[in-house]
Order: sequence, then C-alpha cells, then structure tokens
Amino acid sequence: MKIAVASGKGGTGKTTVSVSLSLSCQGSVAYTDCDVEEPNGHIFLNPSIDGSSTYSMPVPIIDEKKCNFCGKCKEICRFNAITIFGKTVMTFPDMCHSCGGCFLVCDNEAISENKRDIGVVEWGKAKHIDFFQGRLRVGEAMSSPLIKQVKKKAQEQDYDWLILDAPPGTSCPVIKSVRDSDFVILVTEPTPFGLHDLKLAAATISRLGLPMGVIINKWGIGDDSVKNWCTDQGLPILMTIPFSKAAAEAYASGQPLVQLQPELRQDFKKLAEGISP
Amino acid sequence: MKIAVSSTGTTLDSPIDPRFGRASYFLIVDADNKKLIDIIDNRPSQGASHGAGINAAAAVAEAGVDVVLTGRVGPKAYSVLQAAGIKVVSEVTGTALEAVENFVSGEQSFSDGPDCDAHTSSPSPKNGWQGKKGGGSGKKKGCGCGQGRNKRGN
Amino acid sequence: MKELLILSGKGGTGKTTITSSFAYMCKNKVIADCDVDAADLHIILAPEKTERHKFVSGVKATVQKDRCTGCATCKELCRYEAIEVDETALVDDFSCEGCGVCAHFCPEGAIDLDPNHCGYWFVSKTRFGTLIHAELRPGEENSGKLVSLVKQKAREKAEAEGAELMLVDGPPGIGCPVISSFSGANFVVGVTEPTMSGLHDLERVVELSRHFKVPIGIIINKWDLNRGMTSRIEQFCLNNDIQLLGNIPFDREIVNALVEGKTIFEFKDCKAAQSIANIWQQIEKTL
Repeated sequence: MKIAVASGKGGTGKTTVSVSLSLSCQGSVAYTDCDVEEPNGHIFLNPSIDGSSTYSMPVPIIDEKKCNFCGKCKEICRFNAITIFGKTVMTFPDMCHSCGGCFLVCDNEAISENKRDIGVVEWGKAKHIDFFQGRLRVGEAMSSPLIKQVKKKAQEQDYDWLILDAPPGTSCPVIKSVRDSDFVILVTEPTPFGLHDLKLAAATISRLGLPMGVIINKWGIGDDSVKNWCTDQGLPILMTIPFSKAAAEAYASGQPLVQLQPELRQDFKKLAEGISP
Repeated sequence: MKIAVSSTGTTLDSPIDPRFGRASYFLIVDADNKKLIDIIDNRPSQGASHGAGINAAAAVAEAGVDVVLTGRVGPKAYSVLQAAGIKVVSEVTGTALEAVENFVSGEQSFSDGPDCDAHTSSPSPKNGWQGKKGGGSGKKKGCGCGQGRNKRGN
Repeated sequence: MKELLILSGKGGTGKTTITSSFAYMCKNKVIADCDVDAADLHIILAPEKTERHKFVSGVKATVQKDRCTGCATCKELCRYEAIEVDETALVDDFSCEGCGVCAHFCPEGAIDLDPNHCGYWFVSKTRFGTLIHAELRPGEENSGKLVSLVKQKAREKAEAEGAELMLVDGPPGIGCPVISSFSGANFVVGVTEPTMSGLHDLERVVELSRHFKVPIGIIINKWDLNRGMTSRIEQFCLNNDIQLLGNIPFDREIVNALVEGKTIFEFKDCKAAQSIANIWQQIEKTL
C-alpha cells in the first residue's frame, strides 16, 4: 500500500502525519521524504544513514575538433543550453534538461555525455522503519528527477506500507511524488488559507484520478469552513488532530506526535487500514 | 570598429535599453563615422523563458561587433561575449548616439565581469566571476530553468 | 522606490499574515504576491481584478492521432517517460518537459508543439493599494519566470503611481522562484518560527541573502511556543550579525482575524498586533 501525504499549503503538518503514520503502521514500513528541497522527516525519525548515492543527469560536452558548427544541436535545444557563434560552441549545463536531443541530431559524433550532479539519495533505518530521503544540491532547480530516484530506491523492496511525504504546493514535484500512489492524504488546517490551498490540492489530485481523504490538523483554531467544504465535496475527513500548545512544542523540538500522544497510534493504524482497498 | 548598443528603439536617438538579454533592439554602429550599419530585432527574445542573454550575446557575436554598450549584462551572456572577444561597457544611460559618443571620446571603461545575476535586474558586485569558453557555467549554482540564477565566485 | 521582500523558507510560518499587516501599516506602495504556487495574500486583501493576462511558458507535445502510425519512435526517445503507445501515441501532460525531441524525430510529423498555458497574472485594486498577483495551474513548474514577471509588472505600476515602496510576498522554499524574487530587493524580512525546521530553513534563506548581498532582518513568529528554540534562533542571529526585528507571540486572534478576512489591525488590538506594529517601525527606520 502506497500512501502519499500532501498539502497545498506548507506548514500544515504533512511531516507530522507521515511520521506518525510510519510509526503506527504494522508490518514492514518505509518512510520516504520526497520534499527534496527541505527534507524534514529525519528531524523526527532520527534515522541512521546507511548508504547514499549521488544522482546526476547527462549533459552535453562538445568536442570542437569534431564539430562542424552546423547548428543542429543549438536548434533542437529548447532550453538554450547550447549556443554557437562563428567557430565557437558553448554549453550551459545548468540550463540543460537532459532531453538527449543534441546527442541525437549530431552527425559528427562531436557530442558526448558529461554529468551534472542533481543531489543525493540517502537511506537508512529508524527502528523498524526503512528510511529514504533525497537532498537537492543547493541552487539546483530540477527537483523532479531526484524525487523519481528517491521513489525508485524506496521501491526496490516491497513494503506493506510505503509512506511518501510530498513537498508542499501543487506544482510538478508534487505530482511526481504522489502520482503512482494508491491513496493521497491531504493535510490542511481549518483556516481560510488552509481551505484555499486544500481546494487547489484536491483539484490537482482529482486531475490525477487518485482516491484521497483529508486530515484537518490544528483542529480548534479557525472555523468550520474546511469541514463544510469537505462535506459538500464528498471528501472524507479521515481524522482531526486537535490544536494544542503541547503538540506545537513537541513538533518544535523534533518529537513525533505519536510519541507525545501514544493513544493516537491506534487512530493512525486504523486510518491506514481503513483506506486500504 | 563595430559597436552594438542595446536600445529601446530603432534609431540612434532611442534611449538605451538597460537590459542586455531582453533588450528590444541592438543597434550596430560604426564607431568611426557614428552611422547606423544594422539593426538586430531582439524582441522575440524578450518573451523567452530561458537563455535570452545567451541568444542576444550570440546574435551580436554573429554580427561581428567589437564592443557592447548596455545597462546590465548577466553572467551567462557575459561569458558568451567574453568567449567571442567582445568588450562590454555597462551602466550606460542616455540615447544610443550619446552612448556611442561617450564611448568614442573614451569616457567609459570596460566591465570586468557580469553586472547582475542571470534574469534579474539588480546590480550585483563584480566578484571575479569568469566565463570560460566552452565551460558555460559549471561552477555556478545551476537553476536549469534560467530564472534569476546567482553566481558563485570561483 | 524601495523593495521590501518577505521570505520564510519553510511554509506555515505566518509570512502572508505578516505581509498583509505590513500592507495595512504602510502607505503609498504597490503589493506583489510572488507566492504563485499557492498564493494566499488575496484572501485577506480581497482584490478586485482589473486586468487578467494569460501566462504562457514553453511548449507541450500533442499527438495528431490521425497521422500517428504507432511506431513508438517518440516513446523510445523520450527521456521523461512521458509517452505511452497503444494504437497511437499518447503524451502525459504532467511528465512532458516540452523538449520537442519527439516532434523532431516523428517520421510522420504527427506531433505538434503547442504553447503551454501555465496560468494567469492579474492587476487588482485592494483597500491597501494596487496588487499584482498570479495563479499557476496545478502541476505546472517554471514559477521562477512568473515571479520575475509579477515583480516586473509591480515595478512598472509602482513607478507609474509614484509609489515609495514595493511590498513583495515571496515564495516559500529556497529554490528557483525565491532566487528570482531577490532581484531588485533592498531589504529582506525573514519570517521564521521556533522549530527545528524553521531554524534549518532560515539558515538557508540567510545564506541566499548573503549571496545576493541584500540585508536581512528576522522575525520570530509564535516565539513563545518554544522558548528554547527562540533563544537558539536569537543566538544564531547574534552570531551571524543579523538584525532581529522582533518577536510575535502566538495569538489566536491572528487566526480569528484571518477567518474574518481582516488584518490583525482591522480586527482587534492585541499582543500580536502590538508586536507587529513595533516591528514595522523597526523596518521603516531601517529602510
């Protein structure tokens, strides 16, 4: 069972929910942090890191001795990563999206593959949980390919529960994180911001045609508009997590919610079993 | 000597376009007689999502100019201009003709590096960034989508 | 004209709430919402849209079914695994990067590259002045370009209106959109919260502001939720010679104001409101 945890808005409690689910599920469990820009799950799970691999993408390097400056590679590159003027060719590896077009159009075998590092995939253990995360190189913008690698690594084995902690928002990296999961949990908070961003996230997930449910975190602040909207839309509310200063403090100090309130383990376990087909 | 001036219009009395990569036009001027030789229409580049500076620099290089007079040049465009052996005068203001006259009279000095981070319009200190022929930008923080990249002095 | 950029790194720290309060305090400005992925500022500012423009960036591949023979050349060449072939080829919009390799090599010329309509940008009137904002369609990337566009349009408006300040609600994270939002900024306000991840992400925002040589001042929101972590962040600021603009206590009135669609100043005089007012004075002095 692959469960992705997502939210339109940042700071609603995705990591809190993902970590709590991972700690509560029975059987083999893998926690996978797909938020490669700001991976935070490790703060709560405190895993050992047992292995890592650098992930890089192929970028062109052009041999000017073999190049006849025909301009075909420049022409096919829609990302302006290659430019030619006179008898000079320049490549811009950080503009390259690794589409491979330039290699294919070159008639003179003047282009060979170089590598650009995107980030690292790391894995390890946190008690009985297998832990995976990706860390994007600072300044690198291509997060989607790294997310794909993290997920690939996590899926080398079969787990009873694969929990995917998605990045915030509704953009491309979120889609890459959630798209092949069996169920998506959307975490939100009961405020107008939470509602607005939940609407965006729900629209995205329904475009992907995935089943989903909502967890309302910080329940007790704000108003009922999120709850009412979910009811109107027929979106199941899987759980409400009451706001408490104690919970906020536990979060602040890196303590998982189910460690502060062990009675919630049962609720998360039931929730996971409830959404299994 | 041929000079390229980034310009908002097609005549020598048009104001300088402060952006290099996304300038409307490049006016190619003969420094000796201050006559307009050619006009490069760069407007299609203005809407490009990435690499406007690279394309603009390649275009002026193809035109065989020796000097560029403009407002600000980003690091990628600068590396192309450098590879093409083109000198850059930045922070230029006024009309295209005034810019050429000031340059010819020797009142402006050449830039020794890019003036701003890619895709931004904020001036940034020149910290010794060096474009490398064929090396593009391997040592900078790379963005891939070419938006407002920063550079790391190397 | 000065540009004030508000950033947080981590989401949910209260950046937008604070930006809207500043919008109330400050006169003669233009506001730019650069949080284009999940823009929220409009919820409080209740903008009345006066202009709407399409935002187009890059292309997407579309297969013309009647010309496709199902040879699967495109599928073999696509490095993004964006194409499936049944009887004819089908492009998955979410995976297509718009590289055009498939269209170039299709032996039947059956693949078109259409402009990719990613979203909209707007000019609006609000009770606090002109707002430039945008909406990105779900699943779209490339918001760095949209951020640049929003800022550019806001700058043009500000100049036309003779505004003294441009107030920019920045995007979350530290990626490409954030880097774009730095262009032209005179001062960055970093909003953080006293949590491990808040501190971690703040460090990265500080790193960026150093890199761009834009001065930064820090606000610790909900500071009293973890006094230990607040001291750590204060120490971090002290060690790194970063201006601490002030702390805002956790206050339910902030959320209550939000529910009413109001800034805290329009809602109730409370502890949080006083802290924000003091912080604004600090910022005005600095600017």
